[in-house]
Amino acid sequence: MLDPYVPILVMLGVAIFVAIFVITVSRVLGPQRPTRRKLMPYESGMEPIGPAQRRFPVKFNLVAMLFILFDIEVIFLFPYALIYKDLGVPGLIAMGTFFIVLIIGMIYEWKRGALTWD
Amino acid sequence: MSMIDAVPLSWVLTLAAILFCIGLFGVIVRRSLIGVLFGVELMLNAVNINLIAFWRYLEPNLVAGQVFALFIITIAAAEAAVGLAMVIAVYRTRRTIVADDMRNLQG
Amino acid sequence: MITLPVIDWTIVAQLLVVFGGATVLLLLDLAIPAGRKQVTAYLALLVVLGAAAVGVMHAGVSGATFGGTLRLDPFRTAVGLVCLAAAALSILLAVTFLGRHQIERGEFAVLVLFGVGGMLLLVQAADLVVMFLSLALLSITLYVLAGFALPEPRSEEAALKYLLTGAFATGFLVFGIALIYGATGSTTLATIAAAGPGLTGEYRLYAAAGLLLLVVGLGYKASLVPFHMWTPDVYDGAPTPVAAFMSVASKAAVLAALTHVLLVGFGELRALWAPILAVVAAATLLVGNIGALVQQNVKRMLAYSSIGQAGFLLFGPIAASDRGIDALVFYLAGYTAANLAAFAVLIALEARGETEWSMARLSGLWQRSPGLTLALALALLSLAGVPPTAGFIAKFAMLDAVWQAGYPALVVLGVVTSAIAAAYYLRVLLRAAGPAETDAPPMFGDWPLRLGMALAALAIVVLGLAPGWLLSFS
Repeated sequence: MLDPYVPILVMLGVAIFVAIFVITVSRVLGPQRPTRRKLMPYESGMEPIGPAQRRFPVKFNLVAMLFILFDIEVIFLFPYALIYKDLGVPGLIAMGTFFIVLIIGMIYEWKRGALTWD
Repeated sequence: MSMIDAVPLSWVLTLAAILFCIGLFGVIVRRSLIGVLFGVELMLNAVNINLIAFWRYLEPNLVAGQVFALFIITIAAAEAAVGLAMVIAVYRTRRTIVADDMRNLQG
Repeated sequence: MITLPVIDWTIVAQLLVVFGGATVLLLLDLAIPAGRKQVTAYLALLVVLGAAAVGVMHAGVSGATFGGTLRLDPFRTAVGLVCLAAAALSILLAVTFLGRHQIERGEFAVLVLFGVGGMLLLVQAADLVVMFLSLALLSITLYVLAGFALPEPRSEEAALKYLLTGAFATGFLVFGIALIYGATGSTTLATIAAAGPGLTGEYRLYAAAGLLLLVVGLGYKASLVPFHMWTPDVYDGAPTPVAAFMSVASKAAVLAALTHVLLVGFGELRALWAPILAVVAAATLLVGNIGALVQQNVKRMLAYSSIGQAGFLLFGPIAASDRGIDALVFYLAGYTAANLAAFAVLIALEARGETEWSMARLSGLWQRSPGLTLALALALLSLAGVPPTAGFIAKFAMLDAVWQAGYPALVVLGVVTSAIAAAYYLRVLLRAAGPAETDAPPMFGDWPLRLGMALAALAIVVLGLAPGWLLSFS
């Protein structure tokens, strides 16, 4: 019953095997001569400054939330994009209204200073 | 042989129901407010699986299921945005986001 | 070429006024300087009155638009007008309260407008997707309004609790809608009703399970037992005008939606839902009224009493008759007037920085302000159902409707819980008539507050003395 999924299963097995095989072989066969320079993170990069998991300023959260809202609203464009030719001018008017409402929201957040970082 | 023949509808519905219950469990037992919000998101996404499954299996010619899923995604985002904003506001005033620490309103 | 649904503008006119007004006001408010935010509130009041005028103008209109997803009929118009009246009175009560509490932000009036718009949409919805969207709109605005006194910790906490329980309820609601969609292939109530009798086997099960989950979701919003736990906390923590607004308007809209779902969409499954709803109504009456009996905090008492009133409101859909629908509208109107008048008295006595609304603060009110005491007495007597107030006629009409529908047990329970309710309402009034127990709290009597309180009190009396014109609207 699940015939179409067999190739996927085989593919999964092959992928796991190859990954383990390559790592093991290179570890067993490869010469291991660590130097201080090689052990440093990003061999040729900069010395790391501070821990990698930095705390973000709360202001970032506000911008992220606003981004998510506007980002998600755009998904209504996907169904419209598929049939906009069939909808013609009335569809354009409807989506135009939708965008005007979105733009009013943006004007509001802009004027209220949600987009100024400092 | 298409996926529809291979996987019966009831399997997909069971998956959605399990996901919904995991979300429900998360909402009930999580003590961190962010965790509770995660649980709610999981519940709503379980519903999306349901809707898409019903659309694909039963009414592939009508798009109502798909469009409803889009609406749920947007509403979930709006709810999450308001929720996160409130969690931050609460964190600013009391430096905790553990649900059990909210004890001002009882009686 | 896809043909777009024809839009009947008379049906959507009211919604356009509210949403258009709210959107324009959002932009206008940016230009209004910080000290003059009362202007925004009065402009919002104009928008609400405009929408109400449109509603009165179209009072006789019946019809559907947007492919049958939005409907207008006398019941919907009447409940919509109750919501608009609640919004207008709440704005009047809030105008000076906000300034006094230093939370005078223009967003308040805009949020109330969006909230009442969501309520109108919920009342007019004849499609489950529209219901979900409008419920989300009114819920999200109410979450924010509950936290409007930010950074006041109690207000914050109320908002967060409301949001978390509300989002949880939304999950149930959409899960129910998804199951109904799967069973019937549609989300429009009329199509669901048409598909109902033909359902067999697992699809019948899906539809029944979906309906129950939908009722759970709506029950949360209408604070029916056992989904009422958030109500006292949220009403207690939210700013008092907001508590007043959500205790009446959102309840009216959600009850209308519940009635449509049950009677229009699932009238065929009445044998399934009517007994369940009767048990829920009984539990709601008992828990609400017994809970109110032990409260020392007036706002929490009003919250529990509003749970008890929700139990009475459920009698409307349970009766499932024209009589029940008429009674539901009248009950909603009377309850709105009485609850708003009661909250108005609290607002008149609430200075900045007051947290717990203990009953002792009402003591000795008669000596200091007979006017406020009179308003409080009218409100509480109407909530208790004492003649000649609106509450008496409303309770009588409801009991009559469920009696005719064949639920004598509910009638007995309704009378018994009303007697319990009378006990705690009278206890408050006796405190108000008795000697002062604490230092006299300050009183506020600005004209918008007085006007709002007077209008609510007038409505209680007029509806009580001349109920005919509203009781027989359909």
